[in-house]
Amino acid sequence: MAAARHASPRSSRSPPLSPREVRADDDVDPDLALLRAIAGGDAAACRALVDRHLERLHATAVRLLDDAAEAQDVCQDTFVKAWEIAPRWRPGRARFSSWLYGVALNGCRDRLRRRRPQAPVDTEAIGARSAGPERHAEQANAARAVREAVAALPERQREALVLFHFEGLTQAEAAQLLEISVPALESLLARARRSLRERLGPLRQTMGVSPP
Amino acid sequence: MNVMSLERFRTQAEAYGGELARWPQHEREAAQARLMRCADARQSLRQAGELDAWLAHEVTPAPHSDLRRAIVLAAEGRIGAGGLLRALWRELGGLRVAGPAFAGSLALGIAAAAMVEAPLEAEAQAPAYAELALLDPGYEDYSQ
Repeated sequence: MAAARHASPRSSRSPPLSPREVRADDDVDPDLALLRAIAGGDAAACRALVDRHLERLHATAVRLLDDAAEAQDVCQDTFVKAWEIAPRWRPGRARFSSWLYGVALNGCRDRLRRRRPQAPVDTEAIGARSAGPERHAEQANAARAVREAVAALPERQREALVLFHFEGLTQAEAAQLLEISVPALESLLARARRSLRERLGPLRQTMGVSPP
Repeated sequence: MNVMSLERFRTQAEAYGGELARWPQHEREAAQARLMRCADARQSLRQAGELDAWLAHEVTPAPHSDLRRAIVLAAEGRIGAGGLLRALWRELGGLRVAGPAFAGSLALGIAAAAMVEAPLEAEAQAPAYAELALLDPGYEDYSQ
């Protein structure tokens, strides 16, 4: 499952820290040591922070915006804000990664609001153009179908699905970022998944793609 | 242990998918118990798992290396300017030296201001003394 696939690399991506750098707060927020190093002018710490978070932030932005160029802009803007706040970061209120996701999420929302309304995805059209004899073509078609179905979800449902399912955040983390309760998150996720099943269900027969 | 109704099980499967490990921790045990004794619950979980498998088709491309480079360059530029000031600050002794230095400068400034103010006051009062001298009838004798 995607969530499980993302959940474990999240912690394993963190670069090792020397014992001198580790403090009690670091158990609460694994980014604190890097932020202290950045505040001290350590460029290597900047690179480490980018390596730790860029891939996941980029994936989140791509999924929310369905536009690679805009996702790149959101990532750049997010890290510019990160460099501004890093020297002044005060531990204890929230994890730095949560703050980072919040900034990226707001960046995506701003861009989505500036866009013209997009036409909903036509699932019949997806099915019609996706007939391919090769397995990899089927997989690519399935991936596109899923991406388009996710992009067609209402904004809040899409955010909930991306954060919880694709990015592997916990219920509490996702709810906090979306500024809603866990039951409200549950409701958004249920509606999102129901909608996806309705959109993707007919494609199973049309495309003949079996889940991996 | 709480007993989970089939309806609740379905709601959770609908929201959190077919992997119990992703469900809220406090509900997993009850969900597991329901799963063991209820075929309908197993069916719900299987359906949720099918959607999970569909969603696993979707993999986003990795960020382009140019993006990483641009972000890191922006950081290094920022760190570079700030780092230079910080290095200068450390080189000059930081707060331990800057504090007394500031206090000394302040004291010198106040003393200098006091020294400059005294002649200014004398200059300001000088015309008044002259006017008083002009009122003195004997002044003309002195001036001639």
